[in-house]
Amino acid sequence: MKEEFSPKILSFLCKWCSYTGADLAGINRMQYPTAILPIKVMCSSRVDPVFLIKSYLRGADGILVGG
Amino acid sequence: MSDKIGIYVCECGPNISSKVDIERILEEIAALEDFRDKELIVKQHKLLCSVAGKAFLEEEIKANELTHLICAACSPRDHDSTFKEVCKKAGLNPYMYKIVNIREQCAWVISDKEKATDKAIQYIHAGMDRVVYQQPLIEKQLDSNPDVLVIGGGIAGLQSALTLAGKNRRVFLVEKSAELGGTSIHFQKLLPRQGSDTATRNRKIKEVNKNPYIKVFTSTELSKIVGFLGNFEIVLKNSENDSETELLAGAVVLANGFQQANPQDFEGYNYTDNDEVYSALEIEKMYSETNQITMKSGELPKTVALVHCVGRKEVGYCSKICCNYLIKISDYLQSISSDIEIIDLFQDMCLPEKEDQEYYEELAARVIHSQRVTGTKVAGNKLTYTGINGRETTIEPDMIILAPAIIPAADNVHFANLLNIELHETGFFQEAHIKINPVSTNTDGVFVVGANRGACSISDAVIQAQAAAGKVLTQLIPGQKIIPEVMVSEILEAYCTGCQTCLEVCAYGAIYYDAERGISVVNEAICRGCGNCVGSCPSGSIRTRHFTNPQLYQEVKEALRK
Repeated sequence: MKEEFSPKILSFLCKWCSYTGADLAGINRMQYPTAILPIKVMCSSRVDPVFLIKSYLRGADGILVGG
Repeated sequence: MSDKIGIYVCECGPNISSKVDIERILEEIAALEDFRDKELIVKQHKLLCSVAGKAFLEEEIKANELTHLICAACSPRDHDSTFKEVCKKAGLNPYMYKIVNIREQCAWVISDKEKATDKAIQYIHAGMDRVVYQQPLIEKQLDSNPDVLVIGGGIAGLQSALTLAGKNRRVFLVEKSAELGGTSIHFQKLLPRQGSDTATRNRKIKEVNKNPYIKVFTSTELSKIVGFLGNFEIVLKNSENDSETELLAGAVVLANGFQQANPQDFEGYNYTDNDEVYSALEIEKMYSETNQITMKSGELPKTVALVHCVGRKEVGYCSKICCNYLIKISDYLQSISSDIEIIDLFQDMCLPEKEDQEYYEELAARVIHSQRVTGTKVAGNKLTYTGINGRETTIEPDMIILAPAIIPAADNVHFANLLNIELHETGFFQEAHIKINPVSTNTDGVFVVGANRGACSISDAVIQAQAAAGKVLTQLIPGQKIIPEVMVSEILEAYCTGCQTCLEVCAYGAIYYDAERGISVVNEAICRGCGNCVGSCPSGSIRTRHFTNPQLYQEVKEALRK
């Protein structure tokens, strides 16, 4: 049987806000798919557009830049 | 000696151990033989952040001579600094360690234990890939200057200076007008309970003037300031003789005050200087100077209307102090003559302090005729108000006293640019955090106190001044070195083209242009390592330490492997 498609979402999370938000989701035991992969950055502005291209080439289905 | 990576998985009591299969994590990670030719040491512990856990970790680092360390545990917000301290104690550079958050962002968000374990392994693997690309960073130590610049000679500035000087801290108190005292110098009496101000305000001014630690500069403005916490270079300019004074300080307390809006700027308030319409501040000045409140003819008014909330809708906030001072003004009026009829038109009554309600009720019972309205208009001497039933009534009292909105001082924008601090959309200063860090700003070493961060009472201003002084006294200790952030940006001279794009995007003003060398340079003491400049540099000549492209890219690569 074909496995259900679960997109890999790479997320660049700002240390100050969205990373903390992801922590809060954990503290509140909010459940989300395993294929959401957080990468902590010091600020969302740190995310170089080249990262996004490289991540897509590496197999990311979607990218979230949170900041 | 070959490199050794220590990987320690924390059970966090049942928090992690009940949600992921730690046994399997240890097995699978240990099975990664020849991981980049590094030896792996993989262990678990009940609670790494406990005293026993920290001692265990320290011993492990020393005994195994670890070159890299991974703690698979909670969020870095909880214990990143704890484990960094352990590294320092054990002689491992703290930047050769990484915390992997398998609690908040793994164990707690995935209910399926198998899946959560898979994800934890993937995270740890990504962390291992990153940590081998990390480099030791050395913390620098800078000398700091413990002196403090206080801007503004009002109640907040005076109190800041006095509190700091109370701890023998040298203070430069700068006031742009010719005398100390600020706006409240015009107040005849202070809330609550009509206490005479001479006892409080004048005493503070006297104390400041005779305090050997406080140097007062009147008729002086701040013309230039560069630097950072512990090291500000300051130029003051005297507005009377244009002379300049250069000085050094370690912190800045900004207490530049507020202004009262001009009611005529708001719709529906049309009158001239010849009409019997006054702002509350004009009444304060009149009473303070003459001990009387009279009409232009010199006679006492028989009926006085007090109008609250002038411009509140337009500015979009409650000015917090007006209800109280209008009650105070009615107290002035009834002490001048008990025959004066006082009509008090309020929209919402704001009586925030514990003494306020009683004071209001006492006066309302005797002298104030309060009425809730939904809007007020002034045309000459005529006052029109809309009652809660929607009906308009026009009256012509002998005197109309308006309580206009408290608005930001005109020089807030000037100071925001000079000190690189943020403004709120209302034009007041934006605190670092409204609740938990309310007198700090986004620039370390710069504090905002008093009504420049929003309308406030004198007691609030005093509280804030003391809070900022406390912040300065604990952050800036004489003889103590300042250790600036080491995870900062650096510009590689060979690649920098001098385009100065980074100067525009830096939110902290941490980059300057060196015209002689034709390149941009990072002031590491100001840089916060956000990496804004890295993302915008067209020549790729900037890197942020500890968040370099290869480091982040390794993490990305491993996170996407499966």
